[in-house]
Amino acid sequence: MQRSLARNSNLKSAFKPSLASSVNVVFNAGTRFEDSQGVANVLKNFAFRDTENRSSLRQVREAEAAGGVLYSTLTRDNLTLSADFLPGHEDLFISLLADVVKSTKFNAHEYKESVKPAIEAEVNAAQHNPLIQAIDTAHTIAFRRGLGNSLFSASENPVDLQDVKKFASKVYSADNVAFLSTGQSDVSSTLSSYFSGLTTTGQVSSDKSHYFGGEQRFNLAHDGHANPTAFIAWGTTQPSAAHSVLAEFLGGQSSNIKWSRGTSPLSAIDEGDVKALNFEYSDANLFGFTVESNTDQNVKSASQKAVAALKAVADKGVESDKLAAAIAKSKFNYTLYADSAQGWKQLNGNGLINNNLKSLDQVLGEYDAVSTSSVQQAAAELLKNKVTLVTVGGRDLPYADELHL
Amino acid sequence: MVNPLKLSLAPYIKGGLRKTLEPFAKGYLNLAGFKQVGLRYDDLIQEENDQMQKALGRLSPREEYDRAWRLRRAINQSIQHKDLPAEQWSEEDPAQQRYLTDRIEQVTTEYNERQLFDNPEFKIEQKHH
Repeated sequence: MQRSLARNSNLKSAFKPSLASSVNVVFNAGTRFEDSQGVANVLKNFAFRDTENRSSLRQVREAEAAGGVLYSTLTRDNLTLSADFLPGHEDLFISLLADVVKSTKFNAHEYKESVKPAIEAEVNAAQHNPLIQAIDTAHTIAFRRGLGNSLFSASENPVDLQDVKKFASKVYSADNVAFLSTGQSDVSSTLSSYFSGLTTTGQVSSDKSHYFGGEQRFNLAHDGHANPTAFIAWGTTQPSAAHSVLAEFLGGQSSNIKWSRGTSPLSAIDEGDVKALNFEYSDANLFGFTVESNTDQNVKSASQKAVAALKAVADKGVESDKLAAAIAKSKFNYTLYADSAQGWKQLNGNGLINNNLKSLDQVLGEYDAVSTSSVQQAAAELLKNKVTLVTVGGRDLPYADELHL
Repeated sequence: MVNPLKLSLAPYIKGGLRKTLEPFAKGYLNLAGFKQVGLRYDDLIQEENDQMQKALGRLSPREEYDRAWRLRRAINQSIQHKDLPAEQWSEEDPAQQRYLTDRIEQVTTEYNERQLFDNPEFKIEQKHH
């Protein structure tokens, strides 16, 4: 990962050389910082709407004319406004992003005419994907409020426009932002001139995460082509490298070699597609299995086998050569992620705002430090907690007590 | 530019001319008879076009309800060939009479902007060799 940090007096920014340019404005404004339900998602969808200087249409057409893309992304931690474009148009796109941050009008008619339909489409798409639905709900029952806030803004809880404005004025502040740019030259001086007037309202904070756990069952939307799905997870508030290595060790049915199912414990499960995942956040993580198959019964037996595989690690530990391979794969995947456009933004944005940016060597060192005993201990600690189980499908899907925990 | 507000000479008639014409304008408005059945000036604008529909969509629920009520009351009075009692005639206040104008202008601006962007004129600079 190539990176040079340019720190102005009040501007947190990072730059990475690349052929195409991009400017990303990252805010500590993810769903966990919401003060009213669904407000972060509405704010995300209010990006690139009418501002004092440019109408929504003008922004889109100007971006098209110059050859660029505008988009906003939302995670549990961050809200990111992005522009990808051809080098040479830095001024246009940075002024456009500054417009959005500083002078979005939050028109009531735009909320009704274009923002709400966009939100509805998002919710609708999410509800037709059992995996997204299961993982989003699992976060909610695992961490409840704060980190557990849903990424989507359900129409059952309409958000008041005044709350959106209030949230925007709170999070769009100078203490809350990091600028990440890629391109042929560093643009931090242009950034600081356009973003100079940002208010300083203090850094937003969210409550410290706690893990709860629980069970939730959904019916499968019958107009799609989705399979019955289960997500079985355990959370901790002490995320460690051992969890990532454990997920890598248990694996899934996608190996690095084409046409091969791999040799990981989960790849041996014939009944369904099982994958181990580890969602890591600043103060917590959620480790779990996604289980998909064609029938409820298959999901149930695949889930039982997946849980048995985790229990085997907790009881008997892992072989050291298998662990070495899992560590190598974790390191490779992390490096690949940190090198990708998406990963680079995610890791640096959050790290810069919260002043806890880790270098690549530091993270890889943590992976190297994982031992057979620490993986065994991590698995045992996870299993001590109450399980989080979300199933999407029929009545034959497993209940938590049927997983032989 | 054609828009739901149609043509108006109002912006060009200012100062002294306005003062001379104002009594005639008021007289005309009273003769037109819509005030006497409780309608406001903007209730009379033809609404069977996309821009006007969009502008009407931007009314608050209260404004929408009041508009529908004024129209129904006016139709009722018209059927009976009767004016409302004088205290129920619509208000003199121009802001209330033209309650929709700002939204029509907003929609028209958006519409014109889209026209402009859909038919851009690219200026090609002549290069001299």
